[in-house]
Amino acid sequence: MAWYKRMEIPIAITTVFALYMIFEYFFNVPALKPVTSSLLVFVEIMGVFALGLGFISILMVHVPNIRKKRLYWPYSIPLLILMFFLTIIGLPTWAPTPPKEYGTSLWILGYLHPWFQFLYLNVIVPADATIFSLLAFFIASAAYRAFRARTKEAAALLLAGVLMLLKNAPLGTAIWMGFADIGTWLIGIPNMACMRGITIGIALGTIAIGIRTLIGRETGYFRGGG
Amino acid sequence: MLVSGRVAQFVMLLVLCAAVVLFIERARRGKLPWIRKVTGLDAIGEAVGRATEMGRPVICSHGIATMRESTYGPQTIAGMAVLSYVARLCAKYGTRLIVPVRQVEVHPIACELVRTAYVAEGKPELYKEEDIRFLSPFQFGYSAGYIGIMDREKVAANIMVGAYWAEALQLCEAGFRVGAIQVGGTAMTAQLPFFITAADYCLIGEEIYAAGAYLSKDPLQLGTVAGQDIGKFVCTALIIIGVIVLLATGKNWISIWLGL
Repeated sequence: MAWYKRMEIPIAITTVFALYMIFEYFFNVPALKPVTSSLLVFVEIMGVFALGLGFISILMVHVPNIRKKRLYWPYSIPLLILMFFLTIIGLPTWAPTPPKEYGTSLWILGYLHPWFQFLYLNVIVPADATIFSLLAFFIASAAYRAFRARTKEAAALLLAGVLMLLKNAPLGTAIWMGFADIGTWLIGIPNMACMRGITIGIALGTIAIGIRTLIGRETGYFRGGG
Repeated sequence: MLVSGRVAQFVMLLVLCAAVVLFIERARRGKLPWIRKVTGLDAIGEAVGRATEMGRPVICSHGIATMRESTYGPQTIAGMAVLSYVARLCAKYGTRLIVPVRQVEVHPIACELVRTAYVAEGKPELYKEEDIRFLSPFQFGYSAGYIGIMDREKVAANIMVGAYWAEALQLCEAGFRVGAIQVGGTAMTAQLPFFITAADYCLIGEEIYAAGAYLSKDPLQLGTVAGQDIGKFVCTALIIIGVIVLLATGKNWISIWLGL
């Protein structure tokens, strides 16, 4: 096997940089601050380069969709047109006489372009908000299925849910002010105790997976799970 | 030289590291730790088997976070370990696997992971790169794309392990509508109730971090999971001592020591 394909190389890179970041977090060495900043910028730049791969992935799915006229293929056409359009107008443009709001810069960043702004504010933002708002209906349907007292645990969940509803809905406290105290107790004592237990477990699990990654035992992320 | 306020964290980290290394050494010498059964992880095989019988695809996602954030990154890594296992099962049974991706930098890793799994199972011809799909960097763009795939492809199993936010419930409910068996797991405490409510099996918090070790059965990885228990004992002891000291002196010395 060629030396650059050996798995020890990514493990060594991971270990060295992880140890460096841990050291930099715990120890106060002013000389290391600029190095750390540069490393973090380097990571961001690598992330931006990956955008090209995402672009190719979308092409790989949607171009064959259109060519083979798969199910719902017409939706792939506006997607590809908009993707190319936003990419092109999103590129920085040369402006010998830049508008006042852009300062003295001769390069206007693409995301400030009025067409880009129009599409972002009038298509992407409302579409995003629309999908988010569907959550209300999903919560209702999930609650309908979950709040059926078929077992003792489900009955306890139903009871806690109803009490929390009565605490939060104005109608509940209008009927009896005690619902507010019961709800506050439920959130502050049993719920908080469970959440803290889970949080401690999560923190320890995070450290353990970090140690496994550091010593090269957590390999799922670079060689197909070992 | 140590940054003030981080001394206790450093000590705790060293204690945990020592415990993990100790259990790894024990595992190396053949003393394997006992790990309790995690039903959610055992159910993955059942979910892939069901999809195979029905001749429908499996969809498996690793969350919507990148791998480099300190809180969410480990969840993505844990999700990758599960994805690797699912890919191997799918390759073994010849079941189609779809992987929706939100973070572009994770996309090539997911591709390589699934490709390696298919090669390892001796079926590289079944690997389709177009099934490892980058959907959208927007949270709800990703969610809409994911829901669309589940609906169009009529997936039989939906496996979600990683960091999820508000889309967690949307994805679970969409999976329920198409009749998919669902395994959800996250360390995002705000999303756990949604997974518990809507998914068939739920991995709670630290269980997702143990997934890689549990599924690979690697003794050394299992050693690190056992090492975590030492951390739990230390935390429990600190809580008990803290309560006693607080009641006795009226001062929260543990919080002062931890710099909280």
